[in-house]
Amino acid sequence: MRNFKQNLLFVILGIVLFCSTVFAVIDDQQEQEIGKAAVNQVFSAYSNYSLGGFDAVVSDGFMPLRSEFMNRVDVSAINQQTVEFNVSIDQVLVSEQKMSVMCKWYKKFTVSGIPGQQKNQGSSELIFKLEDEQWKLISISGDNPF
Amino acid sequence: MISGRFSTQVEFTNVSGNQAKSFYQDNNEDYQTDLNINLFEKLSNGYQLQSQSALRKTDNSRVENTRDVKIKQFNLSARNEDNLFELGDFYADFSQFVMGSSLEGANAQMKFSDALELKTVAARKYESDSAAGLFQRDVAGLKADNFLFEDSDMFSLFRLGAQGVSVQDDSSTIPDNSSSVDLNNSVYGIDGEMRMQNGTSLLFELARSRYISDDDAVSRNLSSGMAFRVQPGFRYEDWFNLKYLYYYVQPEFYSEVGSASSDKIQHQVVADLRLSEKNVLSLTENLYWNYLDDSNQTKRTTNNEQYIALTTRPFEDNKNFSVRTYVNHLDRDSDDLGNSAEATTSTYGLSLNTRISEASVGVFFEHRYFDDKAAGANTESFQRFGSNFSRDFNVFKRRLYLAANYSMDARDTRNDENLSLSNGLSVSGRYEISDPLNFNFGHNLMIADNAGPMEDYYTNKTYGELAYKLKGERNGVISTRAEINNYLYDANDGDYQEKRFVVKFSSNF
Repeated sequence: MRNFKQNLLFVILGIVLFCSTVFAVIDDQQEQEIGKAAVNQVFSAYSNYSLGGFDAVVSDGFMPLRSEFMNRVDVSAINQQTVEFNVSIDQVLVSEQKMSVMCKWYKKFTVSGIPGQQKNQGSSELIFKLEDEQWKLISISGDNPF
Repeated sequence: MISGRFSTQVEFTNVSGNQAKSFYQDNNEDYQTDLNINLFEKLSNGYQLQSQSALRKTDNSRVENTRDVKIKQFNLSARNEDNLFELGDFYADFSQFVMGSSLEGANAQMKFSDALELKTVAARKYESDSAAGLFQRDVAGLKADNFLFEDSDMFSLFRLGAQGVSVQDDSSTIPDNSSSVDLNNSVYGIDGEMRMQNGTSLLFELARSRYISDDDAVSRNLSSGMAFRVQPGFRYEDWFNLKYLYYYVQPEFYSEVGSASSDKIQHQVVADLRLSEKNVLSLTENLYWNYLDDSNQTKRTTNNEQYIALTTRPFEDNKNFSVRTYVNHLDRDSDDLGNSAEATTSTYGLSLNTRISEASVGVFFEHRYFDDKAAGANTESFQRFGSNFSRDFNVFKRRLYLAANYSMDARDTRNDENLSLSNGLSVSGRYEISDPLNFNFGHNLMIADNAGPMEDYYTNKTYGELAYKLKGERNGVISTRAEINNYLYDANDGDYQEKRFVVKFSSNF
């Protein structure tokens, strides 16, 4: 598939360079920035956790079950102190009112009852939904960052 | 039209002390180059041709595990008001139980009439990875939506949908491999959304799954399960919104690219009331439990949660002033006394945000009490306090933006007479030294004085960044960033220091 995508990319580059009519400029860099900001907002709300603060970044329609997810995060945030949360964005896909962000995350934290710092890293897909001009988390899959 | 963005950076890192605790490497140099290319062209019949691609090359093992050029994202689409044809990376969105996932392949959405729309997907979730022992995971799906009563005075929307998805691992993608699992999962179902002009609504979905965890196993275990959700609702203008959700998913229901919490029944009632122009009250009742028929759990755990939130904007002449108070109460009940998870968690919180003069200011306080009824020693109370401030200043006729956050957590556990206390302070800002030159800076301090032995720590992180904007319309920026991060832990060999220096260039084209 990667070869297919590479070949397709070069073919499309050729087609578009051949075409001469200019209509508009799209900016997917903006999507990358929006995706990164949305992920950082969720991880920041977790790092500086309060129930009310985290509640504000999670959609009412969170899937599969919002209450179950919120309670799991609440327990995790009590037992861990987040020292640092860094993110590297791999992919941002926007479809109508939803946005999928694939990212790698790097987390330093301490666990209650265990001396010293732990670290963990993983890859996750975070899905956001645009609600009242704010991207809110509606689903998360892959490695659990919380 | 072709446009895009190019960025390249070199990063130098130095780690002293216990290097195993850091994500960086000592005396290391990494480069990273990213190229985003966007294409846009108008075609005939109202179609637009769009393409987005993102390529990356780096030797930074934290970011990519190989050094070759990676196509991080590629998408080519042709669309008009009715139809969409897409190749490459895309987000496939069917109904909740069936599919909501990013995929790689082909996607088509076609509107045949005002009453009928079709979505088809032929893609893969990921390619094979012999090192990780993963076969390529193929996904094929079809969704049909039928829109009825288009010109009805009664309905503003009446949609009935039917969809199915098949997810299968392709074992031929790693020949002679007998250890990898060969997943086979299919999910199919119906869903609907009805919205009446009088504010009444109904959403539902019914799905059935078929799942074989390993198709190549000697004993193929086929499991099948059902999932159902229904959500009636009623809205009266902006003043009242009431929704009830019934959620039922059998333990053996499995959806690889959909979203379901198996072995669960939930009843949820949500009511939003606008008491006045200034006050909005939100009430939520959640009742959910597991251990349904054929469950693999050892006991039933029932969660009963109530959540009340009141948002107030009391001042007509200061709409930025808002106060939010909330109460959350969760009762967890277990029917297995020998392995109980019984507990109660109560949380009360208050947050206040406003603008004072030209500054944005916020404070919050939260109290959480956890009563572990099964093992009383874990009972604890938790206090959180936080405040934030941000404002623009004028310093030497140049803009200085400053933001500051302070947070304090205090935890009191019944099994330890000592209090765990942590304080955090962060300050960040930007000073516009001249038109093309900006200085960004930040400092973060965290001090934790925990009750447990050897659990105290102190972190101190500082960065500064100079960014020079090049002349021209391409928004070219050259920046240099320096960071020093100190981590001091009471635990043996816990201390380390990171130094990081980054030079970056980025430009649009």
